Amino acid sequence: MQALKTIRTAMWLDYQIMANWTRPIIFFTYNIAKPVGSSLLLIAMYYVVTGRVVGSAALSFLFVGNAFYMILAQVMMSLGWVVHDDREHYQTLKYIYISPSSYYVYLMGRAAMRFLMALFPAFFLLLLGLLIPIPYDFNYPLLAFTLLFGWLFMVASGMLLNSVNLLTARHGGAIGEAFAGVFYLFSGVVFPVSMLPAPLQVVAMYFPSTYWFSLVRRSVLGVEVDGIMKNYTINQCVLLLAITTGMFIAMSIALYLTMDHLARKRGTVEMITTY
Amino acid sequence: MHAIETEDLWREFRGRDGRVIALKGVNLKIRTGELFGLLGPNGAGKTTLIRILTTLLLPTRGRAYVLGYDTSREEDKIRPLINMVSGGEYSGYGLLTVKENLWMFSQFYGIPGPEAKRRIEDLADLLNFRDILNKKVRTLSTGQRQKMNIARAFMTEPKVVFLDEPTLGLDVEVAREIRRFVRGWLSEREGRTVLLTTHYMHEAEELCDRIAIINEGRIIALDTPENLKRMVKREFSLHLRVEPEIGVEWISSIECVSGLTTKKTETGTYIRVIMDCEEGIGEIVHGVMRRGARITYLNKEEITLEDVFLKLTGRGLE
Repeated sequence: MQALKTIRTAMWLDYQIMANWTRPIIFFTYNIAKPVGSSLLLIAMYYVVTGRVVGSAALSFLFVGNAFYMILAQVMMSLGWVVHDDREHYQTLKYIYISPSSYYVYLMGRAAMRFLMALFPAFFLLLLGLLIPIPYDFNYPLLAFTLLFGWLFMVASGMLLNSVNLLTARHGGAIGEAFAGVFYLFSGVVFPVSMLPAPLQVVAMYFPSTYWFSLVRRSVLGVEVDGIMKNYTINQCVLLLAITTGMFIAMSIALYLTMDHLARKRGTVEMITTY
Repeated sequence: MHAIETEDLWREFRGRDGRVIALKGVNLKIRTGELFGLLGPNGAGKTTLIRILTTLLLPTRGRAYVLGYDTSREEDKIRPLINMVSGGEYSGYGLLTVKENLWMFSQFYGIPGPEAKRRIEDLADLLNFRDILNKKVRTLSTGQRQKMNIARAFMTEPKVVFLDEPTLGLDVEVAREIRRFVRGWLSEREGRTVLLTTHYMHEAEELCDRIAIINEGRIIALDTPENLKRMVKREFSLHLRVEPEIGVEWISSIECVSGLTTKKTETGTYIRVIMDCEEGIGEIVHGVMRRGARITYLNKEEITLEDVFLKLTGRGLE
């Protein structure tokens, strides 16, 4: 019960921090403009290279992958700053940390709001895709399930990130970008996993994001074109997503407990570096 | 059971700049219901001790207990029972209002909404900040922000409150309001304990039931303010302002002088001497004049805690 209260309060706080600097309409425009801009850039690049955009399965693969990667990238990059900002900018981390609420649960709430806020530009991009047009074939129950697991694995990944940040000074953003980059490379976002060198394909199979992006394409486009991923049925993909997400959650809890102990040992919980 | 207890508590920090031992075998027993002061200059180890007791930091060696729970191993049992406020910082989410900030923290302590609202309003009245409840935190003055932080800590009705230099940098009136509030809060409740760190002597003297003087990581004296002052009861402090600046090391060699601090002023030197014989005053006056300086101010004062500190450590607090 207290955990739910903490998550709800942390989500509220996160929304206030993200959106409270301006009017809601400006905030939502800003929130959508950046991902839309980078997606249009991707389409332009595709057009320059191939000379066409209409009727291309590759573009559909790329467009949908990119739209949903925006969620992951935004969650990872912004979560990288949560610990740093609470600790050094707002100087509230120690007061939240010594409260009866679990700091891990608090960060889950912050990550949840980042995820929800990132959904808006992703869905806006899908709407924009109708103009190209992208041949959508929605499977809504599968999409809802996929999004739920997406939230779970992104929270777990965000927690891996924030656990490290309990010990670091100003590297939060850089670590977040690196995390997002790793997912971009290994998960079949804009190019299929089958294009990776064989050893990296093996690595990709341990990432929940690989199955997540495959399920996203299946639930939005109705097909999977990746030579490796299409060998898995939807049920197998769902099972593997659940297993790898469970692995990530277990890893994130273990890492958090370790880093939390180290942070108390080294005295970095309330470190002010003024970097 | 003591509210706070430490046993041979050590804390060492290692960094690129080398090794610093912040606490060197601190032993403390603070009774439930006490307003206990920890007095010492900057860098004495006060904040390090508070960080350990509030579960933010692990000790290098030794044990610390709050309400019988080990701070290193039982932090989950301690956290619902404590809260803290630090001075000299700008904590708070600037885009939230004071009320929102306080409400948010109440939720982290599981306080039901209506109860949280009532407590916020009660504290706003007691600390005299009802007029800023709907103001954004970024617009607050230092004093207003600190009142909000005091309310944040006391709102959760903690059994033990840690106040780490809570009036640092505040104007006299706000500092007085906060001291009055803390005293009142404690006297109206049974079984609550406050640990206050400060380097303001008058604050410790005014508020605390007992005081521990900490210097360079060690507790060098622990008693009631009155008993601490009795430690130097035959002595008095002599305050002089001399112009121009002169060397004063020779004062320490006068037989009845037991403590000496100096501070440069714009035109000369401010000298404070702890001594126990009035004949020594003449020697000091004579010595100053022989060195070509003149005395622009001279006063013999009653012993304060600051003098106790000076006698015990050989240096001033600030």
